[in-house]
Amino acid sequence: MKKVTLIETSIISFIFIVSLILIICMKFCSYNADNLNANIYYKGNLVQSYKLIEDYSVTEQVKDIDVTLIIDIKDCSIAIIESDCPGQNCIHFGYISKPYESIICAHNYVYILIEESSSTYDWVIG
Amino acid sequence: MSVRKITILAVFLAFAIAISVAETLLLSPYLLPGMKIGFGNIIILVILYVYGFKEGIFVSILKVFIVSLCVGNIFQMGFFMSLCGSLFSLISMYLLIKFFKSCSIYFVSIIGAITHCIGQICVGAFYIESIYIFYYLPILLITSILSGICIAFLVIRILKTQFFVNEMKKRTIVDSSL
Repeated sequence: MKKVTLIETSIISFIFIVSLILIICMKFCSYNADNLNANIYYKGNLVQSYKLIEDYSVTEQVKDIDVTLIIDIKDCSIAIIESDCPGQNCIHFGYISKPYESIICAHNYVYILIEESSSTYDWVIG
Repeated sequence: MSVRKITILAVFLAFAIAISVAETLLLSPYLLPGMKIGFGNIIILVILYVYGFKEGIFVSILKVFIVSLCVGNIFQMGFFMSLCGSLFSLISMYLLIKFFKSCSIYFVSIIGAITHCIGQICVGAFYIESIYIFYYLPILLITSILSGICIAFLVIRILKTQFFVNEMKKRTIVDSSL
């Protein structure tokens, strides 16, 4: 069996370190916590947007989509708590609250993305 | 293809399906969303080293079809993600074995795991029509490096068994690349 060479180790280490740096950047980058929206996209189109603010909580079925998808918003975070997809992977994502964190329900063509909104007035509570 | 080879491949296919279904149903709920160790890939990598690309693609595609049937997502998004990931992974591992003969099994396995993730993410991005799915890629890359190491460790042990040593002796071309 061939031994692992220095070049191979370097390539894998490079990928590992770059990935780690990206994860750390995404996890700890500074953001304005008062200005976050949870945008729900269905087949690439924005169908609903929720402002993530303190003291606002809601549990409801996402409107304007053909699938069962119940979201829960509390403590400035959002999660999918019920879905009709077979793997239930989207539920395992749990609550997300930071910019560009996302929950993907590939089976239902839905993803939830947290984005910083430029204006404090361009949001809709569905 | 001889009857002996077809029988051996059928047994490997059965192993790969059993391992993949068990992993999907038992292990996946306890890991990160979308993450799998990919124990089924052990069989594919062994076949690729011992028999070659043609046999590898045969077992790989059949495995994706039958596992999807068992799990219940055939011809749905998850199926196409699996299929594309498997093909990406298989082709990249084959090219490494074929054209970079000095590559170790660890490297081939890790690159296979990484390209599997990239293939799946690309199909996911195409289906949900968003590039934001790529934000999940760094996490999957790290987990795929770890799973690639685990798989290579197991594959090396399997390839050292007498049966595979004898099988590899019949295939001198691939044998030289190990």
